[in-house]
Amino acid sequence: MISFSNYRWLLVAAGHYITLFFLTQANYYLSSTGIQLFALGMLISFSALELNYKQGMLSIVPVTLFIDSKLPLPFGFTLIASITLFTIAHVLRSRVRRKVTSSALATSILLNLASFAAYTFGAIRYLGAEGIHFGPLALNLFASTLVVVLINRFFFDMQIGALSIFGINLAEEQREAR
Amino acid sequence: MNAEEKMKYQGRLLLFYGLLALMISTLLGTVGYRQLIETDFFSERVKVQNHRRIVTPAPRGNIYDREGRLLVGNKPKFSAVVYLSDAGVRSAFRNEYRILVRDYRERNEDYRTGRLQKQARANVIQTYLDDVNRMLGREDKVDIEKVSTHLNYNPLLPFPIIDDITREEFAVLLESLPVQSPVQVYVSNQRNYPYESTASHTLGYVSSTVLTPDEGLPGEDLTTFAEKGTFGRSGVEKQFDDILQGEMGMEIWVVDPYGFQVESQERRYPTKGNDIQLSLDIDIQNAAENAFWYYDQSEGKDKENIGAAVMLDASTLEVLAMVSKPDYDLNDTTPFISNETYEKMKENSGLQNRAIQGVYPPGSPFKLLTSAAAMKANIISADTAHYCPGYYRFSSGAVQRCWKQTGHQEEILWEAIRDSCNVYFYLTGLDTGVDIISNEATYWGLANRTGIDLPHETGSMRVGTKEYKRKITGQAWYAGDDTNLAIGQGFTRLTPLQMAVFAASVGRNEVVSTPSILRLSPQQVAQRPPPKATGLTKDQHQILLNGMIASAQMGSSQRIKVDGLSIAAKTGTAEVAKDGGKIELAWIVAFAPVENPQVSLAVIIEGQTLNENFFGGVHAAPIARAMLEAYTSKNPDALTPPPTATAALP
Amino acid sequence: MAWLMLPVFIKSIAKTSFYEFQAPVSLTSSYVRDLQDFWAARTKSKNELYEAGQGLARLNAAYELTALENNTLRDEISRLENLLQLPSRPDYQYEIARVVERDFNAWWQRIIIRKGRDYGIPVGAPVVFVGGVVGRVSEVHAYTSVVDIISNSHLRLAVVIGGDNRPMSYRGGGAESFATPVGIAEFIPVDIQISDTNDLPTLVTSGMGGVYPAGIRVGEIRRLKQGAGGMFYDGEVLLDERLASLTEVAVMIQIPPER
Repeated sequence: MISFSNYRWLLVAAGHYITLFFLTQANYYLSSTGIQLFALGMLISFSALELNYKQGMLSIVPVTLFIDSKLPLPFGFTLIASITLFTIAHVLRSRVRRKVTSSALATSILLNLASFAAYTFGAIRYLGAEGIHFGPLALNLFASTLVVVLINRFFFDMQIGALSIFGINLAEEQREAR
Repeated sequence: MNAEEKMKYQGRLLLFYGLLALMISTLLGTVGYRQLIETDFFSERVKVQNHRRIVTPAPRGNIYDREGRLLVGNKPKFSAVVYLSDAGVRSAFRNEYRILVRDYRERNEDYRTGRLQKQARANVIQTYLDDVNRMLGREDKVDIEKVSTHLNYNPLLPFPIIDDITREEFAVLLESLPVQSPVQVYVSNQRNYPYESTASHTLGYVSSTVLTPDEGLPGEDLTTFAEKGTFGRSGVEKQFDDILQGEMGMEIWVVDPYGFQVESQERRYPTKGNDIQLSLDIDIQNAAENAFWYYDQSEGKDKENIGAAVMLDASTLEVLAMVSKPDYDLNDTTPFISNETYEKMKENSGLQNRAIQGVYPPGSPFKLLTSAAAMKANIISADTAHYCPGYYRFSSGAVQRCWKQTGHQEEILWEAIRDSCNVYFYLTGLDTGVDIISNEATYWGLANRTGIDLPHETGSMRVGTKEYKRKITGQAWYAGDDTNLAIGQGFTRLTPLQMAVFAASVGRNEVVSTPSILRLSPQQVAQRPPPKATGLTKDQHQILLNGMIASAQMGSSQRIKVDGLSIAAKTGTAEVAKDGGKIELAWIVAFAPVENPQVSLAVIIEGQTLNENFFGGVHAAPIARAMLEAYTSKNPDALTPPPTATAALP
Repeated sequence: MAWLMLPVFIKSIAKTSFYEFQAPVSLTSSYVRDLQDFWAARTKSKNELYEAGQGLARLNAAYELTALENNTLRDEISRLENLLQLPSRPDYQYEIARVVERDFNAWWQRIIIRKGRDYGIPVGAPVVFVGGVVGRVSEVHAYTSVVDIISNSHLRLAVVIGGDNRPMSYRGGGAESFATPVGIAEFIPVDIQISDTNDLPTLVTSGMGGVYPAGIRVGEIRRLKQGAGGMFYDGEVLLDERLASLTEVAVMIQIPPER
């Protein structure tokens, strides 16, 4: 069981990837409504709040590189933005009462907002500002935030549950750490 | 340290503190003053130092004919440009410079920084040009000096690497150039003349220049770069330049210490100039211009007459057509006039608008004025008869001939006008005298400019007077001068436009003036200067008409005949001395319909060969007919059953 | 920092491997969707299917007729072209591809299609659908390609207004609220007017730019405003709304002219 503990980042990354996969499928059907769901912040939030720095970082890197490989932005953009946000959240996590669902939700929402902003600046910088309109931006952000609000708890529980299948009990570890 | 020393020391310390406090307070005071009071001044100075203004000229307004057909418009001129302020371009400049320096150092050669910088910039621009060349299949090269001059004087304006690309090339570049590339397509505008050389002198041409920015455009205190605009150089373009020029656009940029754009702060789009509508009718104009062509049998090819033609609306004095030949294709004048084109334009005084700048002896049409002057002074009447043996012998024994060598025998006034009998008018001129005739001509407005709203109307028109002759030749006025004056020779010089106005005056029996090239509204027509009475009685006027009608029907002007149109016309052949010989000038003036003149016209054709005979009736009348036909085809109301001269005769 | 210092080729290899590694998943999901459609069709009653079949048969007959007509016209055109000795126009081969993913957001609009290098799709190839131009292929992978939709602001085309021959520029203008893709047209001659809102001027490809053949619909000019130089209008272009819900597109691959 110990061996899985060191590779928990892989399990988390797989969970992240599956989440992204479902979001992508949702976006395929939602595209005709002009809504695209974006929940990168939620993934970073889980890695930052529930894993240690190294494991968290390792879980973020492959997922962000997957995302990057499909973006019109320079390769590595999501990686750098996510690592920055992850580090900030990780440093500040001691101030957050991690067990409280609402604080995890707040972190997810804030990180999602920040990464959304990073993408917006990236798009303006690399693709030009002419094609970016306030209306759809606001719509997408609103829809994404709503989805994060709705599924954040479920997502956290699923990830924790998945880890516990492999014998990793995050809650217990955190209690012991205190 | 004793107490005294301590006191002394403390005193010094106090002094030191005091000084320090003073210094600090001065410093703070100054900073405060600058920060709080002089803020505006400094922020203004900062603004002036790092703000630049780019001024863009507005497209000129269009020019339409009286029926709203576009005579002069704008067309886009596409070019490929490099935006030198682009960060990529500037870093490429630096890199290329570094590479060049390294090469020189490796070869241990001396180099001059300035020249190397120039070379580096040209190299970089050439690489961009190579890209464009590849897309378009061209092989253009960059002019190193042009790049350098542009960077020195207009660093904020895009540098044109290919001027004037076609629409197809424009389309290729649109799809091939990345949107964010520093190389882009650029569109400026240039004048477009759909009718090419038609009415070229009247419309005029424009020249491109850096215009002075409009007053009131924001950022007047900033360093300004202005793109080239155009201004009217001649004709309507010059006369109405203020109307045609639009409002310039401008953009204020924040620039970095090197003077390159960083951020646009304020922008105002240029506004196109106002359109104007001319009184010209392009159909009549074209008909007249086409009629100037003839087939030269000796050379076996089509040639164009040299001369001028004017047709006026006789009631409003609007110009319906104004021709001056030779002319030039206005499209050759844009975007600039090449030396070659300019030389061609200058040939045969082609730049001159002969209709308002050419002065010619009026010849026989002047006999109408002589008749009017003599009748008003009661020197002749309708029945005054003179005998023409074909010549007139002065008391000195000198002889002056009639154009008809066999003579016209005895003729009365209207017949003399019909036949253009010189002897009749020699005698009338002698009887009337120069003073009466020249005063009458001045009264009819022939000694002054017509006041048309076109630039460069000549002021050299004149009617022969004693004073003028004395001034020019130092000689007294002789009887021969009277006879010459009476038939429109001698010292009198008039423009074709004046003759057309004169024809309108004769037709209306009112002295009119101030023709107009602009289409006039009914209000503007009402505000025209009121006509003066000619002073001729109805009967006297009728005599002139009879002579002219007869001339148009069976006399020397009969080639003007248009079916169904009653025309009064007077032809003439004048002479000017040239290169030891003489050049003949063929004239015709006319108006129609006789009963209620709608149009008046004057045509002059310059002979091109020395001592060649040239007749108004032969050379000028067909052009007048073409103009009248074009007019009547659009205004059939002008057509009436022709009055016969005999019916009008006493 | 370390990332920024990495050589470009390593990044590009990393990008390709990450992309290709997960590509089968996207592909599978796309096939699954097709399967869904199949089963959805299976649930239809026989009567429904029979009616649909009849409808198709009618359509087929109509298309066959049109195809015949087209053949005659094509022959006529080539005859006239030979007569006038016109240079041969580029010929295109159409590769029909299913849409795997739609990335249609406020920042960019692109789709991933289910054909890539395996079908010889080149980068830069024009992509069209029944409603006109879709965009251009921006990346080609082993089994998929990425297509930038023409609402992206970095896509530019030389277009003309149907029936006019003056080229103007079209650029993507992003997506407005509720997935309405828009564009910006520049260099519109000032004699173009919008007189009837039901009959907007239609922009079609000019064929002069060398990428798109002539006459493919781009969109309609919805509004005009004074352009920068004062000589032209700029216009807002309304694109086909179906661009946001594409399921199948055609990639146009140029066939090199025969020598």
